Amino acid sequence: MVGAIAPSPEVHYLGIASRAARNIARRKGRVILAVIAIGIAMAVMISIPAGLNASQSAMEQLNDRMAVDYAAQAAEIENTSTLIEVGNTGSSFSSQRQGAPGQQSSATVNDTVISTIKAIDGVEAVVPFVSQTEGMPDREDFFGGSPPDSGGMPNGTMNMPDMSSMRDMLSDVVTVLGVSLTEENIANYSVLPTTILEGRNLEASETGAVLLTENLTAYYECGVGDTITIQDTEFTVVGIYENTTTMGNRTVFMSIADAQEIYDMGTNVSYLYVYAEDEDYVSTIASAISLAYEDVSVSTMSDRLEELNNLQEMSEQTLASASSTVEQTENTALQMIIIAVAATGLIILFVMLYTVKERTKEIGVLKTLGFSKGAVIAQFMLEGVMVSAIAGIVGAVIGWLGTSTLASVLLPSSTTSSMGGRMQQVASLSIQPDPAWMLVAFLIVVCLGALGSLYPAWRASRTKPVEALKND
Amino acid sequence: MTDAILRATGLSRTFQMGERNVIGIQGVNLEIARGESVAIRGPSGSGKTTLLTILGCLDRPNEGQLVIDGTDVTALPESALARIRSDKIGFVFQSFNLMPFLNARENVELPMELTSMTAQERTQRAKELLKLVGLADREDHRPSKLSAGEQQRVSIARALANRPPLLLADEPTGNLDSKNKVEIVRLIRRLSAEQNMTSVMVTHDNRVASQAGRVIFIKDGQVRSNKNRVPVKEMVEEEEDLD
Ligand SMILES: Nc1ncnc2c1ncn2[C@@H]1O[C@H](COP(=O)(O)OP(=O)(O)OP(=O)(O)O)[C@@H](O)[C@H]1O
Ligand SMILES: [Mg+2]
Repeated sequence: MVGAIAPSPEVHYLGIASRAARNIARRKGRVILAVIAIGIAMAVMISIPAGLNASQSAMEQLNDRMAVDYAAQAAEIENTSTLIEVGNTGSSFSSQRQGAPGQQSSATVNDTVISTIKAIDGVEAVVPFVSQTEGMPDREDFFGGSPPDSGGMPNGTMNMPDMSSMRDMLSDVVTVLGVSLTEENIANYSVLPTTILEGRNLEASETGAVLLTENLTAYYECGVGDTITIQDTEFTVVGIYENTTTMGNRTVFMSIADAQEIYDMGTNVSYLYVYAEDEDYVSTIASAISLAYEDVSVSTMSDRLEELNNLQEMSEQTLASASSTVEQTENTALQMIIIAVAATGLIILFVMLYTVKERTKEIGVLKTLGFSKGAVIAQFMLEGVMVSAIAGIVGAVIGWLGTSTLASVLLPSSTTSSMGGRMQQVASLSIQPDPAWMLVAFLIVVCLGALGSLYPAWRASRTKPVEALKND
Repeated sequence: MTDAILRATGLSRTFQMGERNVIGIQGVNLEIARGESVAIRGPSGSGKTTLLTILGCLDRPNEGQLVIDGTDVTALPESALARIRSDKIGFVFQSFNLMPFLNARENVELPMELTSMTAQERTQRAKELLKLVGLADREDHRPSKLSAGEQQRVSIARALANRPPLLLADEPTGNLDSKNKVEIVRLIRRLSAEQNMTSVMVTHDNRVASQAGRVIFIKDGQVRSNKNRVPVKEMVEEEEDLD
């Protein structure tokens, strides 16, 4: 036994682990604070990528939906090669002119105009429409006197995507569309919606009846057979038609006679659909109309396609700017994750440094008992890792429960607001943390715990045994 | 070669205090045989604690050589020194220095973690040691639930855990009342005799010192006398002479 030094026994990890755990339990208040702080940092790590993913997939969905919409609309327009749309330019509503019925020579489209156009060579039919808006907050503010795009095509499929911010403001706006309910118009010129979900379609010469879209039944809180009041006049809802647009169609169909009556329009109409007997006549007819009524707007298929292209370009620009916002958001997100990572490491570093300083004497005692540097490092590293693992679990819980709140608080809301309500409508932004990423974040936090306690543990291991003798 | 558990030659330790050098001990020569019981006396600041920390391998001398149980520890690397501390030396402190978050038994088991004993063996031995110091019924108590005398008993049990040949105690009775003082000193004496341990105890108490087989008196970091069996009267005279 003399002079013999026993071979170094392996470090007892069980004892070290149990002491580490007890030391954590000794300073509950401090550990709880650190755990909460790190937990929040980890929740940030979890929720930010989740938020970004949601924005990106919403954007992609929106892109896809819009592409489909435009394709459908373009196809529809191409089917209307013989149609010329004639409206009031500048384009004042008939109702605005009703105080000056004498000024017939100007742009107001009325019976006289209709008969004149009908008389033009090659015109097969002229179908009049009245389009009015209800529930508009203050027209002048938004349109400078021009009407909103109001369900241009009879089926409502032409409802163009309007500016999203306007959309939010116009959530109460309803378009009342008066259509000419002659047998011929219904049969040949598809003035009514094609798909009726409930009840029936409007019938020839019917009055006092309306059709609503699905979304309007909720707005008016009524169904088939109920009555709704428009301009102090009661109408019976006879049917519900299918909404065919992404944007949601808010158009009420009624007979043109009813519409003219409730809006006090006399024989004035909002616009006309002029059908040529053949494509070849279209340009001649269009120029004839333009020549006769210079204040009237005339649009042929090619005009409408051009208009659609313009709209599509506008939406693409909006999407592009939204994408660049998402890119900016990615940078912000990266910064936040870096901050969260740094915060986690620093919290562990300072908590452990403080712990080591506070327990200098205790470490000295361990040293006097013969504990090696390695054993002391192991104990303090383990302590840091344990605290961060607890924090990781807490962070996972906070992250799981609070991801959508956190993401919307942390990420600049511009990502969503630039696309307005539309984004929500298209892809009801569901922000779900990715379990795989949660596991990664947990491991990152635990690694940061080890990293952050490395220096404090090293400091602890250098404590001199004589520290045990210093009296407090 | 005599059977010395400890042999010190020309040990010196100075502390750097800014510009000044403070002498802890200076040129200490000492040889202690296996099984001896030694008391170290001396006025406050004379270097008693400094000497004990060096003998206990808690600190290194600036000069001199120290051989413990046949091993020259003077130039040993830190890790080997730690092994010496765990295998060869039991240390008893004035302020007990128990781990506050471990109960009595766990405190006694702590140094045994550094051996190849199994958990069961450690618990078994810790219980035996606590019985030996008269605390069999206190093994589950944390230090805060124990009296000062009881805490010192636990720390003695801990010092004995790895059956070290050398027991060092720095004023082990310094924080105790007179009744406990006597009991603790008796306990250390009895146990070191029973286990054939060498004990080196720093004490201010001449009566305690007089019971030691050898009394070393130090002053200003130097050994002034080193005699067997010193009666109390002689110790008082010695103090008066030197003061
Ligand atoms: N870590 C240190 N740094 C600086 N000086 C020290 C240190 N430890 C001891 N000293 C000095 O060394 C000298 C001896 O101190 P030591 O503690 O060994 O005396 P002591 O005999 O144990 O005194 P006491 O009876 O008061 O415990 C004193 O002058 C002391 O101030
Ligand atoms: Mg002292």
